[in-house]
Amino acid sequence: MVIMKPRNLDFLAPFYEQKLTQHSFIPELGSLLSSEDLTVSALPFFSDQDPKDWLRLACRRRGLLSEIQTHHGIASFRLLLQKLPGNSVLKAESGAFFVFTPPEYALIHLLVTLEPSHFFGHLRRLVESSYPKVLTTFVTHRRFRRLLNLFLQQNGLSQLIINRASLRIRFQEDREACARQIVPMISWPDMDIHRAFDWVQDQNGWFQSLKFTAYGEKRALANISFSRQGITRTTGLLPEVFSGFIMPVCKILDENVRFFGQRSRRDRKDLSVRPLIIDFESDQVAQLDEKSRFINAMQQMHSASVSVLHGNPYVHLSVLDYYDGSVFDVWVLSPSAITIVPQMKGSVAAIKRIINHVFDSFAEGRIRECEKVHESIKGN
Amino acid sequence: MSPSKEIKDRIDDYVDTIYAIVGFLNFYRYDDLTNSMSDGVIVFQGRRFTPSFEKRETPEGNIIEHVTPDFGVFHKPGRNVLGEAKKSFPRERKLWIEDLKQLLSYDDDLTGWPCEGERVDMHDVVLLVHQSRAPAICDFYQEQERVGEIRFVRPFSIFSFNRSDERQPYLHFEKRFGNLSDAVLGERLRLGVSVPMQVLVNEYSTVKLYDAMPPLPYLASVIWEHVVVPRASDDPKFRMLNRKQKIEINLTIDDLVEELSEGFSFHSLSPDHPERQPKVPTKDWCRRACDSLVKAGMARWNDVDLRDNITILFTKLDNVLDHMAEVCKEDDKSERQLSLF
Repeated sequence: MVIMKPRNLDFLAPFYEQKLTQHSFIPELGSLLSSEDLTVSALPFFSDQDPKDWLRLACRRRGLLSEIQTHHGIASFRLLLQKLPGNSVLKAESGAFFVFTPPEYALIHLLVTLEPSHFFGHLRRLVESSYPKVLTTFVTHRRFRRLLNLFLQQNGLSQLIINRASLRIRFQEDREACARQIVPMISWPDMDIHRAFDWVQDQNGWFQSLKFTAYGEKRALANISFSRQGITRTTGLLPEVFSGFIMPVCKILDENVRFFGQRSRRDRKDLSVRPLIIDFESDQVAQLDEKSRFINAMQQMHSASVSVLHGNPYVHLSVLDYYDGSVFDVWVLSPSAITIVPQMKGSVAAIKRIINHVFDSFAEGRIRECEKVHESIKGN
Repeated sequence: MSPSKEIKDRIDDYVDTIYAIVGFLNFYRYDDLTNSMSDGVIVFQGRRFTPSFEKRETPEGNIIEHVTPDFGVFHKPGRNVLGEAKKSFPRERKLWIEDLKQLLSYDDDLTGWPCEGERVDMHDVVLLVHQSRAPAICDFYQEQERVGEIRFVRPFSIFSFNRSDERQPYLHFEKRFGNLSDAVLGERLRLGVSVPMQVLVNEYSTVKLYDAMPPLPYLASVIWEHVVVPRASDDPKFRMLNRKQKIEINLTIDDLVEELSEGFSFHSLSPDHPERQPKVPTKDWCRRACDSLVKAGMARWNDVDLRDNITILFTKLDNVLDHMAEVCKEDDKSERQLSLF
């Protein structure tokens, strides 16, 4: 039997029962932050099925999900997590959250809660456990920096000081073991974003997540955290954080789903391929050791088979994703680009995963369509 | 040489031949003036042609049902081609005459072109060989021509190909002997044409098999990744399957042939002309690959006598190709062609 310890004063419960609308949702939530010592956590995700359906399925073995209400496309739920053998809940706990679908994006949704971080962690794991049906995104290092810069400039802030950074450094000294040389680090640099980004770039690394304080002219306005996965938490400036981080992540997700979608050969009657190219700004895969490093990095991809059909001078890999059975041909046919060719099945989730793996374990690049470039056939 | 390296070299030879055929066909498929695919060009690989009455009998009196050029192009007069691609030749020079005689069988008023009446007035015959052997083959051909052993009526030419290992890998084609009816293309190829591999990555990713038996580990990998895995991934257990668990997949040899032929052979380049086109891979190759899986305990025949129906015990492999190289090692040895260089 689960005994719930009542809160002394559960002033949040009525908030989840309010008749909120698409327009009033963020302002109402924001005003709550300014009056109480609370944190809003938001996780944007993609799902092409009704979020209620997968939530019920995902919660089935973890606890009891009850819908509080749905009003104007904003659904609120209460989740009672039960302590069961084998699950991550240490004690029975309960919390409420919203599922909000921004009107701009029919298939992109947000999980939003005012509950403490450990409860939000359970929600995050619900989303992750529903992969590949439910997808989160990844924000490239370049975009990460741009979002922070824009946030600083557009909101007239004096500075953003990073209090805590989770980062990964790609060490390259031992090229044979390069894939194991991705070193996770946590630091408390207490430095402004420009210096922090310059430093991590010099170290050939990237930020996994950042926690920072946004300063106005004289005082701290909000403590904000933002992760590569698009998870955003803030103690203030909610409308600004919403338009500066949360909505851009929704846009990235939407772009990813559109751009990575319909790439399976079986989606087309003539079974033709629709490859993608990762373009690096400089020659990243020109030398033999760079190609070996790339192959080694790919072979570290978890839950996948990576077969090397050719290793040098060109690279040809066959990559099989064991999450959903997607298969890719991966080619290095240029010193500065990688071509990914989805075969009969190349799901959005698997394309995102393989690109994410290349970005994390090898190098970041720009993703583009692979055009036919026949004009480059030339006589000697 | 480690077995793995040796197998990978043979896979390399096999796919290089595909790349060479695809590259050469593309000289006809692609119009450089408009930078687009030419209208009305049909390319084919392994198509069966019926010899003319004059050539349908061997000197020994045997009837030749059909001849099967490695590749062909049907477009318009002056741009119809039949050819053979050979990366490797036997070490013994005297055996080369058989290859040339095979080409001579294409120098005929053949029936089987993808057009009304199935015949054309004239076509070229070409031989595509690896650069390393091109001078020797050209010399040999000219010797045989001088002594009257070989004489082509139709335009005949020899081209070399090689993969270049520069910053951007490409395939280089060059005319070594003879003339093409398409003089403009012939001149371009006399000077040599380099085709970056990136340009043909779509075709390279689509065409994995042609009408020569591939190395068994390679075929087994293609079967596993492109036929077995899609079926296994439909099973709800797939995602959470651990390394020791298995999913049973029932397949027929016809399924294998059909799916690989449709998705991974030259069929994809001209899918509208399947007539006279035997399916690649053959049932026999698929059975041999499946036999290796059965011996390794990765599958079982449901009809041992016919070997038409098989249950594959799907499991998650870390590296499909290396695993198949190990599984097919013994069977592959017996398949190996002799005297390659």
